[in-house]
Parts: sequence; structure tokens; C-alpha cells
Amino acid sequence: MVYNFCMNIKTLFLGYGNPDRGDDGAAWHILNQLFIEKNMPDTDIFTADLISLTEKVDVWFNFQLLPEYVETIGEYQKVVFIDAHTGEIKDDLSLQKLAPAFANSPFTHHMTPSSLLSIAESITGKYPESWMLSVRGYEFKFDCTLSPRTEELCAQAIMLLKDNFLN
Amino acid sequence: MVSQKITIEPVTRVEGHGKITINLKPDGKVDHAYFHVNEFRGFEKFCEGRMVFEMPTITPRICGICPVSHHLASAKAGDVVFGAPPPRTASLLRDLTHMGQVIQSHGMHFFELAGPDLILGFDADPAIRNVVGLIQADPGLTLKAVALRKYGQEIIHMVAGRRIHPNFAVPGGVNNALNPEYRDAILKDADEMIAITKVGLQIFKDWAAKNREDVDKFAVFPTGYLGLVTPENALELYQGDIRLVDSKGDQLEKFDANDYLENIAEHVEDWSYLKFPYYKKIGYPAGVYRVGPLGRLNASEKIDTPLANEEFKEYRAMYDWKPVENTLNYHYARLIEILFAIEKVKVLLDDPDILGKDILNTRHNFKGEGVGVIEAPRGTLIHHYIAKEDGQLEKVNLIVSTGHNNWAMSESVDSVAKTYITGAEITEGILNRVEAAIRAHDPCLSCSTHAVGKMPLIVEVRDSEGILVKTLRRDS
Repeated sequence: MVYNFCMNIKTLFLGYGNPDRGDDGAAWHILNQLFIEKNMPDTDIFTADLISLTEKVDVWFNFQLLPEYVETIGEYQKVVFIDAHTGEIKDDLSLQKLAPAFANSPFTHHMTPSSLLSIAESITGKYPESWMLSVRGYEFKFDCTLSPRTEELCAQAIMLLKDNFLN
Repeated sequence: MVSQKITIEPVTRVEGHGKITINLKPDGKVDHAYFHVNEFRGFEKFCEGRMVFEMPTITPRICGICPVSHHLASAKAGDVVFGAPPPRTASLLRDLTHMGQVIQSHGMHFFELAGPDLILGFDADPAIRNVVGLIQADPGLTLKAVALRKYGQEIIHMVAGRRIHPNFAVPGGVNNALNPEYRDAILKDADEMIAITKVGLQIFKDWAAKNREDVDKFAVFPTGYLGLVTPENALELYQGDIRLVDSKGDQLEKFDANDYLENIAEHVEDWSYLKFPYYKKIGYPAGVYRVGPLGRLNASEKIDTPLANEEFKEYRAMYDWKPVENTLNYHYARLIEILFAIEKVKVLLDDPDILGKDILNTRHNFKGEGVGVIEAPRGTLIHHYIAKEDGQLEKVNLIVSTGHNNWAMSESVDSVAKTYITGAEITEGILNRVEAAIRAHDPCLSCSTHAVGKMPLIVEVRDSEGILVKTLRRDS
């Protein structure tokens, strides 16, 4: 296991998903709520690039993961990927440490956090300590709101982020 | 042996993804293969009731892969709805942003998605036949690929203010003039990017020379071809008329985007949720056509930038200037288009108007209806809006690039399956070729959705009575 050893001791919360597809936007709702609680309600995480949440935590929101994010995550000591899942993870709310593992996508542009770490490791020989915070989603229709069950899980996810990475 | 059915299905979170079904005859040969798209076109309904001026920021949410294309097509439709043609500087800046999108998208496809098949081989171990395997096999090449993609992204970032989902183009123009320092920064690296693209072109040419048999039997079939062109029928990606040529290369139509409904209709098949566009006057399926790099170069007679035009001439001369039908040549055409896009970046940045401050036309002459068309990396993208006088949308119609290529993708799958599956054991390498028939078109099925975990392939073998005989799953 070769983690980054960099001067930057910051953590990156890298959320991804589509806020227009119901629970697929769970990460956006979680990160947005963190800024509201910091009395920064006007922060637009959708149209901004990297934003500082605290002195030690930056936030970045995207629709999906892309290979060039390797460069950005390489600048952080720790990365927390935040996303929704459909039940393929046992627990409705899950915080798991990640290891590099590349997963091919047969004919789409899909990329997983572990694939991103695998590319980082291949190019630079190292990768940031990384975690996957995953929230179960139930409704993925074209809608900007969360289902009640996912909304409750997002509240719990915020507590997990605070307990493990913010306090 | 009874007849069998094989299904290749990436397991994903939401609709909007595709799967392949291969029906085998009792002798093990392919009866027919299909590419199904479980696409849900709910986005158009989602947009109805919104305001036209919001659309350039809403529609990029359709797609996390080519958001800039939707952003620009939407702004162009808005220009027409509001009767507000953009000033020249704004058009140049939009075009420049679009070239950034083409460079990054095509660069990613060739080096990171197609490259593993071409450089490591269709039959290579799937555990290494990916971008990580490519890095290990040729780290220098991979770093070049990353640099090319980053260059495209940085153009978008510098010109439009954000790398992924810019809020830049608005009906009537753009909201940000170009900083001269950014112009110089983009120009400084252009020649290096051209050199990287030439490396890619040489890789493809060398591969094609060694694998001529594959190129000549892998999904080779006639269709029509469609793409934007200049008034002189040169390749155009941002602004022009739509040109449609037949399978012999003869022009069928050349029309303004606003007349697309007179020329394009959509057929429905009961095995796919994605419709099948075709040329209305010939009908379906005789009127099907291809878009994207292969379609565009077949619909063009030349390219207006010198390096790309030299490559274009060599490419078209391979088949005596007849339309190129070989699906694997999508990769070749894609590389020529990267070269064109980088050269076009230089042309645009050398134009004195690029630094102009007249970037927004605020004088509106409301028309209520408009069509915006652009050549997205994957092909022609059409946005059609009808709005009330207050700008609220009553109707939205989108024909996305992947839709135009729907018939061709399914035909490619059928052709490759019939060519390579001959009754013997179906190897992973053969299944990979079937998938590669789809990948060559670079479809965008993900539509801004994703899934935690891997995307396994499920292969189901069923007998003629539908009973499951065997299930294969590969997570690589």
C-alpha cells in the first residue's frame, strides 16, 4: 500500500451523481447541506470547481468520474468519494476504505473510484488514502428531490463525514 | 444442439444503458444479433415548462461525457427562438470551446477506450486489456494521451470558465470574453498536441496495416452518411448545413438544421427503446445513415486545415474516394478530426476578433421556435425547442448522436457476431470484438448516471425453449 506523502494534508470530498435523477444526486445533497451548515448557503457546488469547506477539507462535485481526475486527487492526502448505490452494497449506508482495482466498462464511459486509484498508482506509483461513502438510492427518475428513505440516509451520511473527517 | 441466446448486459443503475443479444442457431452459427438500448427519453418532458434561457445549463446534465455539446446546441437553439444571432466574437468563442470538447473526448476515446484493443490486442488478457495495462505497456504514450485530453479540458476551462459543465453560452452569445493570456497559453501547446495526435495516427496506421483482414471484415456495410459541412462541403463541427450522402457518396440532401423534420424521421423497433432515425424520403431501413467521425468524413469532400486535409486525402484514397464503410475506421477518422480540431484552435485564436468584447446580442426578435445543431464528438446533435412568448418551453425534441447511429451499431453487432462466431467455442476475445463493434461508435449511453462497484458482463445462454443453459459473468 503506497499512499501519497505530500505536503498538502488536506482531504477532498469528491461527490458525484446527477442531481436531476432523484437519489442519484445524493452526493450533491450531502455536500450542499455541509455548506448550509457552515453558513455558506449560497455556495454553488454544481457550477464551481474545487471549493474549500474548511481549512483542511475541499469539496468537488461532478457528474461522473473521469480519468484526468487522477491529477486532482493526487494533490490530496485523503479522498472521500461520495455516491449513491442501488443495493449492490450490503448496507444502506456504507463507509469503506478503497484499494486500487481497475474495472473495464464494456461500452460505456463508466469509471469507478477504485479504477481511478488504479490509474493513479500506475502513473505515479502512489494514490491517496481513499474512502467510499455510499448511500442507498431508491428513486432514479427525472426529479431534483430525494426519496424520503434516501433523504434520511443522507442525514446519517453527513454525521459520518463529520465524525470521521471533519471533527 | 438446440438454438441458444447469448446476452451481454452491463448491469447498471438506471435505464439508459444497452445490452447485446446474440441468438444462435442449432448448429452454433449466429441467427441474428441485436444491440438494445433501454433508453428512457424522460429528459425532454423534464425540460418542458422550463425557460429557454435556462436550457444551456439544464441540458448538459443529460450527459457527463459531452456536456459542452449539449450546452452549445442548446444555446444555438435559443439564438433562433429569441431571434438573437450571436456576434461574431461569440461564435468564435463557442467554436473554440467546442474544439476543446472534441479534442478531449476524441483523445480519451482513442487512447483510453479503443487503445487497449488496438495496442494490446482484442485477444489480450482482459485483466490487462485496459488503460492500466496500456500504462504498464507504454507509459510514455499514456502520458501523452493524458496531456492531449487535459489540453482539451483546459481550453474549455480557460474559455468557458469551467472544465466540465460550463455556464458560458447563452441565447444571443456568451457571457465572458477571452483573456489574452489564455489565448497565448492555449496557442503555446498546440503544436505539441499536433505531434501527439500524429503519434496516434501512426499507431492506427501501423495497426491497420498488420490487421488488414480484421479491418476488412469487421462490420463493413453500406449506409448513408450525415454531418455538418461548410458551403464548399468541407468538414465542419460547429456551424453549417447538414449534408446527407448515399452509400456511393452522392449527395441526397443539404439542408438547414431548422428543416430537419422534413428530412429525418424516427422508426420504432419493439426490441429497443432508442428510436432509429432515417432519411424520410427513402424510408426505413433503406434510408438509415451513420454519423460521427466516419459519417462526417464520408459526408465531406475536404478539410479546410492543411495537416488534417492531407490525412483526409490519404484516408479517402484508401477506398478510391468511395465512402469508407469499415467500422474500425471510425478510429482513424476520429484521429483525423482531432488533428482538424487542434488546427482549428490555432485558426480561431489567430483571428483578431477572438479577443473582441462584443459577445452578446441583447436585441431580441422573438420567434418562438428554434433548432440548434452541432457536431458532438459522437455525431450530429439536434435540439429543437418550441416556446411561449414568455420563453417557457412547450415542447422539446432532442435527437442525440448515439440515436442517429442506433441502426449502425446494431448492424455492426450482427455483422461481427456472424463473422467471428462460427459454432466453435465462444471465447472472451470474440465477445470483446462484439463489444468493440459498439465501442467503435463511441456511444454515450451513460447519460450522467453511474454505479457504485464494477460493471460486470452477464452472458446468458438459453436453449430454443428459453431455458437457461449457462450463465457467464466476467467482472473485468
